[in-house]
Amino acid sequence: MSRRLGPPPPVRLADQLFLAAHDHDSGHLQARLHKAGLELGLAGALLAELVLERRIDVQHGRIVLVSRAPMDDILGQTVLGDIITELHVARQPHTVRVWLVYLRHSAVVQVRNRLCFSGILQEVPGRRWWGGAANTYRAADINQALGPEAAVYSLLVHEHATNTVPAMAFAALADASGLLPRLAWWREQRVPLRRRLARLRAELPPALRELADQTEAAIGDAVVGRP
Amino acid sequence: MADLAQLSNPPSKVSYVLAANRLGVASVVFFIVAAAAPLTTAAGGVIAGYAVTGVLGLPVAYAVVALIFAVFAVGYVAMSRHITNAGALYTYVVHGLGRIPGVGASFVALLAYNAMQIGLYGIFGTALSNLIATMFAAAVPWWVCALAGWAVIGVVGVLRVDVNGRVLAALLIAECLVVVGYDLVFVTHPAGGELTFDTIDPANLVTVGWGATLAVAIAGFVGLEGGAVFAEETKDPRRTVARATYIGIAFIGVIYTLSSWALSVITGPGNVVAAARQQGTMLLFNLGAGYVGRLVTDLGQILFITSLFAALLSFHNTVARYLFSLGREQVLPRGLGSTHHRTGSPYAGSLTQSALALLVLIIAATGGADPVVQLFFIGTNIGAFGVLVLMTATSFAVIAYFQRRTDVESEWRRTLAPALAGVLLLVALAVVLANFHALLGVPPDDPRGWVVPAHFAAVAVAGLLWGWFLRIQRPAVYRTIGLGANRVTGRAISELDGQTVVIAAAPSIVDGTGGARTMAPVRTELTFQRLHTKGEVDTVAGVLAEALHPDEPGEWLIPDPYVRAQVYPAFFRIHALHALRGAGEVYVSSDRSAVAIWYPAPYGVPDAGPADYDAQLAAITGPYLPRFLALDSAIQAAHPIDKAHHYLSFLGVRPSHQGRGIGSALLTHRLSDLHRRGIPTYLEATNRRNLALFLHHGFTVIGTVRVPDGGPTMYRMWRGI
Repeated sequence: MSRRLGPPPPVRLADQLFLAAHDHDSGHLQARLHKAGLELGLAGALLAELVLERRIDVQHGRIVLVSRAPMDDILGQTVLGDIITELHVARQPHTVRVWLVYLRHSAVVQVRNRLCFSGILQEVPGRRWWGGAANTYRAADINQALGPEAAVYSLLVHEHATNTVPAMAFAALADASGLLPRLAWWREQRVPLRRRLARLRAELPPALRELADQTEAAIGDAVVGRP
Repeated sequence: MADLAQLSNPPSKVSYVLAANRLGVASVVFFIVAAAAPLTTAAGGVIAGYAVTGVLGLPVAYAVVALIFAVFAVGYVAMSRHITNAGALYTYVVHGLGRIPGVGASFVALLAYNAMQIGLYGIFGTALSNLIATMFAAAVPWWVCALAGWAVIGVVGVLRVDVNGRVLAALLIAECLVVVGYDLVFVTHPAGGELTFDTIDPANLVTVGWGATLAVAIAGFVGLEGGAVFAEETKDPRRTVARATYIGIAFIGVIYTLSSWALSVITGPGNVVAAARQQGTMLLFNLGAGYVGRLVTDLGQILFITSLFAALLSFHNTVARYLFSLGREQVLPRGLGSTHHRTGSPYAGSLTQSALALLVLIIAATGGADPVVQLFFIGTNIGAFGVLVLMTATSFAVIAYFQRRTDVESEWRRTLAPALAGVLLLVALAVVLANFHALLGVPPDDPRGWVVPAHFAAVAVAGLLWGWFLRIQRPAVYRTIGLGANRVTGRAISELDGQTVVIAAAPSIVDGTGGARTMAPVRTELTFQRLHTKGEVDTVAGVLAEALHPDEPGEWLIPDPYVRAQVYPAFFRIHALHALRGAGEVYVSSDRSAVAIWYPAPYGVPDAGPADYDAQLAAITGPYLPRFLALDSAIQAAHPIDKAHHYLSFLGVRPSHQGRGIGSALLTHRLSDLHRRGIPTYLEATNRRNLALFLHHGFTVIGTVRVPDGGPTMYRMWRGI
């Protein structure tokens, strides 16, 4: 297996959400979020990556194409390719909700694979007690895996932390997917944190704000809908 | 027209993936029939109905209620296609009658479904206790069994246990087979050896206390209104829920009518009330015991338990979802909108319902209440009364909602059916109200007969006041009432469907709409969209070349039709390419039979031709170049320059598709958008026929374009705002 030389690959938005949405302490990944929250949250993060890279925009609740320039990473390019293809076959651009529901089917596996490929996660071969393969995953470097959670913590807790748009988008998506109440430090100071989050989400660029809102609504609808 | 629209729609990967997970008619029928729980009614509701009301006309009441539900479903299902959060009845009231009545309706719904669910614990406990008694000869009080059921429901509700669909289907089918099987046995063994039809004589319905019978019948149908919750998850949102709901109502209606009649056949019409009073929920099984084996009787009793459990869980989940939605809207404390971190269930709502149920069960058990007559019968009929109120309000909400949207759905679905349903439900409500004492088993003049309706009135008023308070004190919450989990986005998800996407400045963005829906001759299958890529430049040029070939300017530009047919596609290709490259806006119908090229003209004459237009034109038109140039310069000279506007450069419909209103619809589609944005429009009509069309669309003639050398006369047309 060959590794790319040069600087380590960036930890993208969906990667950050994936890492923060799992508990790494036990040596293997344990989800902190329920299925719908994780799947739709990652789907929203994949779309947010394209917004941050200025490939797509959200207008009137629909995903519209801004640039066809290829993405650096394969997963982002796959999603962008799907969006470009749909422009030709659908009568009008799909709504954010349609894309979220479409992407949720593969988001978890694809983001996990991307994390494995960039060496942040490692696959641990295992077997079920009644036989059959059941591979688990673990963080190659637990400090690196805790990075995203630490980042959202410092963004929310330190009033004067630098509010870069990607960091704000990550915090907004973590909030939208219901992850924040699952983090250990949330409970003591949830009232000021919630206030700060509301302000932070309001300050986001409209497209990212809409993505976070639609992600939250989609998860809510998944709760009410058919199990 | 349907095939037209599909011509140029290659399969979409997204649609394919989403469709793979969609529900068909059979699945939705299954869900709603399971929620109505047929055996629960056949072995519980029917018998308690005979016992308490003493009215023989119960079978007729079931048939009548089935009809009322069917009429109600017409408008209800139609509206479910247009609103979001469609599972919750109060959402309809919000969208139709307003937010304050909506909050009132949500409170009524909470009371009704809670009463229904908690009431079912009474019969669940009794049935389980009977089963244990017959199988193990052990006496367990009903409330112990009810509490056991309560505990399981509470855990299942929070864990959101996904019981295998096949298991549920097998149970439901077995349940229906048991009901039909008993019915057949009963009908073939009539009392006194003679088949009697007294109970299906309508005259037996209209007796003293028949309003109570109506309430009993309605209680059996509650759950069928839940089909709309699947509206957004079905294969064909326009048809699946509608078909499934009608099939469900018909199926349930037949089963209930048959069961209640069959019961009166085997006991004899004269004895059915007495038998029901004496044997309670065991009547069905006791009657059948003489004809079927012990195994079938036991199986029937077990299925009765599972059927009750399904109904309990269904109503428990309904309440939990209502609480979740209201919590998300912040109409109720927002904590109710929390989800369980591992299972994703609306666990706060679920726990609240369980707590309420426990409270009532404790009161009933310590107070020594009769589980069937008092808890089950009164509880479910309170629930039925509340659902009746909700359905009545919903019917009028449907009418009000479609008042503003006359372009969708038929008159029958929009107004006539909901009005009919509204009147029928009002009558039913009045009759039930007048006979409520019979449901409670008290004399007509007893004030207790009014306690239940008074509670509903109080709850509804509390809801209205709360809604009013929200409007005054928390306008942000008030604005999003009815949106459920979509509150965070500030709008309903369904509001986007068919809405024009107005793109301000961003490049390469596709646009489209169902604007054609307002046009009578064009079927809804045809939609319009904006093209952004050069991929279809030849299609666009081809349509225009074909469409404008017989036009007056063309006959002057290139008199020979054969030469014109050769030059025109290349000529229009220049224009189409220029517009598609970003200078203009190209709109097409979904079947690519109609094309329009628009240019924004914010300052003076629009940029309606490429930089090297003359050179390109010369290469294409050769000897006809002077006439093309003369026409163009005449048109340019006449162009109004005093006001910013949009300019319709070309509009064409393939000759084979002309005369169907497609061109007109394409024009309307764009004009309505421009009109909304306050942008005037300008164009040149090339002949008298088009002149009439444009006049019809609100344009006025502001002058003519004179082309020298015997050229055509064109009309300069302006449409203000």
